[in-house]
Amino acid sequence: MLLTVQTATLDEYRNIKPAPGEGYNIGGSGGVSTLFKEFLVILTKTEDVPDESVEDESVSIVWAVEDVLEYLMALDIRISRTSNIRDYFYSHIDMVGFVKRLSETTRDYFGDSAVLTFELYKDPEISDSFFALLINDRTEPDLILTKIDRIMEEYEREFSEISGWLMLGRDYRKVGL
Amino acid sequence: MVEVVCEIRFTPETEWKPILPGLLFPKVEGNFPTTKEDRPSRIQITPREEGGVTSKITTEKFTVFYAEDEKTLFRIGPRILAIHRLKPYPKWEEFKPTIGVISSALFETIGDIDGIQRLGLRYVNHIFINEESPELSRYFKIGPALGDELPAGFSNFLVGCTFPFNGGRYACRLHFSSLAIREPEKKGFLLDIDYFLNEPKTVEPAGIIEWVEEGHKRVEEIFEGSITDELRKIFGEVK
Repeated sequence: MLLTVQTATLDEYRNIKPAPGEGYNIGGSGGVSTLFKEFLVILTKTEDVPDESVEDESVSIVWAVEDVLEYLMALDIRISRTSNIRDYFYSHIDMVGFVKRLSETTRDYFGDSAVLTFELYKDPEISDSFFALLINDRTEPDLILTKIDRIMEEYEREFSEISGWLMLGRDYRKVGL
Repeated sequence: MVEVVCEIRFTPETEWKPILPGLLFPKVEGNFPTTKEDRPSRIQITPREEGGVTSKITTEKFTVFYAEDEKTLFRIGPRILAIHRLKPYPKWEEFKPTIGVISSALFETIGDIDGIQRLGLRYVNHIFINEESPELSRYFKIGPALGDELPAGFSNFLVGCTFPFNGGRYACRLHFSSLAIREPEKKGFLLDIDYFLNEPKTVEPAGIIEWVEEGHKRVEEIFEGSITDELRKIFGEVK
């Protein structure tokens, strides 16, 4: 039963503090669905959701991938060649949550002024592909590599566990290209 | 069609041993030689009496079994089996046996099943039209109904409805929206059809194949009822 439909900005969503409790599910097929850089949060009535509640829809990999792409958009991360990105996610679905967390952390480290780009890099020499999250920060260019090192340390264990590859690096291209 | 999912959820009373994926692996290894681990997060939000909300984030462990082409896979988590086929989609007659083989192997491994809580057959379609602003009614028989006083143009939309079947015991949810992530020089749409069991324990494990066969027919009817001949001309139909 739908009780309320609320919208919340990304910052408001981030401010939701984890605490024990049961009862409300966030709507949207993969969890949170972002539309037009805003979160659409659908709350269901608490009495209708028992502890062992059943999700009311089959979990879709495609929806989970769309959710993460929309989440990156909400973080103001540029995405190029989405078809290729989708296909890589489909083969490495364990990376959906990882990319979400890493991207949020990276945005936090570099702030809103940095230009972040997420893409699938195809190496023509070894016919291999991997995700690349690239950072262009003109306000503090000397700190880029230091911050990247810190993020890598924070995610060291997860980097070793994911099934695909992701490169976190500096973007040497000119902003706007 | 970018994805079809057949999902089976078991009742909370069904005993679920964490070792199940390991016990199942030898039975499916021939067709699903690769396994990976997935730990999706789940967020639950509770309103506080004094206002605002609190949330709880939990992580569940899933084992994902991949076929060699990595397009057919199934995921096993706590009391959940989800069989996915990603594009390119073969014919239904080719996918249906996969559901039978995997579910039978799992049922045999579980042993005593209390019941099925939910069954779902879901088709997710991405539809791209090579126009910047296509006229929706030319291609779809579903869409937002806008009153005369609303602006004529819109950039994104989301509509949906749920159709009850068999007196509400089954239902089918239709979701139609624009794709927020766009492809260059074309407009993308998402047509998502989710047919599901609305009342727990009304389908026996032995009746699953019959149920999905019926579900597939309903999904097909709803899909066909949602699109126009003009759209059928654009893409080669795969049922």
